[in-house]
Amino acid sequence: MTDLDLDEELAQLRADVVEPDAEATRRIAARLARSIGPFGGDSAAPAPRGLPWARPLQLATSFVVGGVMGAGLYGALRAPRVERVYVERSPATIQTTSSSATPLLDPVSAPSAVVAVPTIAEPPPRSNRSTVSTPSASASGDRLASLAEQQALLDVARAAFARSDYSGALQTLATHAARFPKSVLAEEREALQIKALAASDRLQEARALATRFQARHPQSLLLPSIKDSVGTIP
Amino acid sequence: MSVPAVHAEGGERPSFSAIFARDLGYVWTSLRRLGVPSRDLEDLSHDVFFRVYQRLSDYDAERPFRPWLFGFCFRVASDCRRRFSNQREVLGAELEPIDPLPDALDRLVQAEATSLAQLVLQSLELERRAVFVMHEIDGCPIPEVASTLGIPLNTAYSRLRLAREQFAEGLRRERARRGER
Repeated sequence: MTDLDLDEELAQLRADVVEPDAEATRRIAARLARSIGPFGGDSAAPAPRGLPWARPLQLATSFVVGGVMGAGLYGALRAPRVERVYVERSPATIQTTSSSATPLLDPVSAPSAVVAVPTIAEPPPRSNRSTVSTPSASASGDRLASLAEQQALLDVARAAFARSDYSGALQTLATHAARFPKSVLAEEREALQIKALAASDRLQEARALATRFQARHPQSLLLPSIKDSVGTIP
Repeated sequence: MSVPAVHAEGGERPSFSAIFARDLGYVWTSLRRLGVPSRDLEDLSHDVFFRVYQRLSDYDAERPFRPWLFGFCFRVASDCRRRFSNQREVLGAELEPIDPLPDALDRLVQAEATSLAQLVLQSLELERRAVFVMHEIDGCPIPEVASTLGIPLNTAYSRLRLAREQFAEGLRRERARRGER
């Protein structure tokens, strides 16, 4: 194969120019016009990158519009936000309200709000749940209500401890122990009791309880903080 | 190398409509030389001009226009080949084993070849073919080829040499097969 042979074939390739027919040209032009806008003549020729601010402006506008629409949609669709307020009551009050089947969490009758914990509203109960009450569902509901009550009482004691009302905290914890002797929150209750005793300069009682606590809950995550409060556990 | 590269008139950036009117045939032909099947020429010509529209402000009016335009053709054809290759792999896994040689796309394009030279051109791999077409057919100097395709100068020369050898060998074999000289 010589260069002359190649030249002959290359000349053939150069001459092999194929133009699209008029219909194909029209279709391509129409698609381009849809993609980038009309471009019939020089006067209509677009300036795709001649306006450097156009693209950022478009992005910023999209961002603002999208943000406003998203905020509106969120506001329209989100569940209403409620505040759950924990109130401090005397043990006598708790006994009374419990015996009269009044819910413990009653923000209206609360004499003083101690802890306000914002929570997201829970979804409304399903219709079949509200109309059909099975024994197991009822028992489960009772357990949940009891647990909520135990937790609320413990929160009251914590709040009293936090504002250095150690006697109030101990009183609330005693009520808790009397009402829920086998509470799942007993570990937390005992730990708080030890700290309240230690803070009240009742170190001997605190250490005795700490020893018992360590024996009952040797792996407790609360042990370090108990040790901090009583110094050493005998 | 008798075909001069088209420059922008007066060293100014041409308008998009003028480019479309003047160079649609060049784009169409270049895509065909790069192995795009006839059925896809219309779509890919649109893609080339769409990209040209987006990047027109990047064009350096002091340099020849058609090599710059050919760069778009090459990238669009390369993307098309990659997509086609992926499709073939997915379909092949489900239906039947793929005949390894020649590539299905190459066979399709070769079937459309109107001349022996074009048939052999389609047998070159795309990267070599791009260098070959730019230099041997469009008459573009190799430094410009390398710049347009974004490859080192030596790579461009190497691809050109290999493409020439492959093209010559392809011609010889095909002529022998047809019983020509």
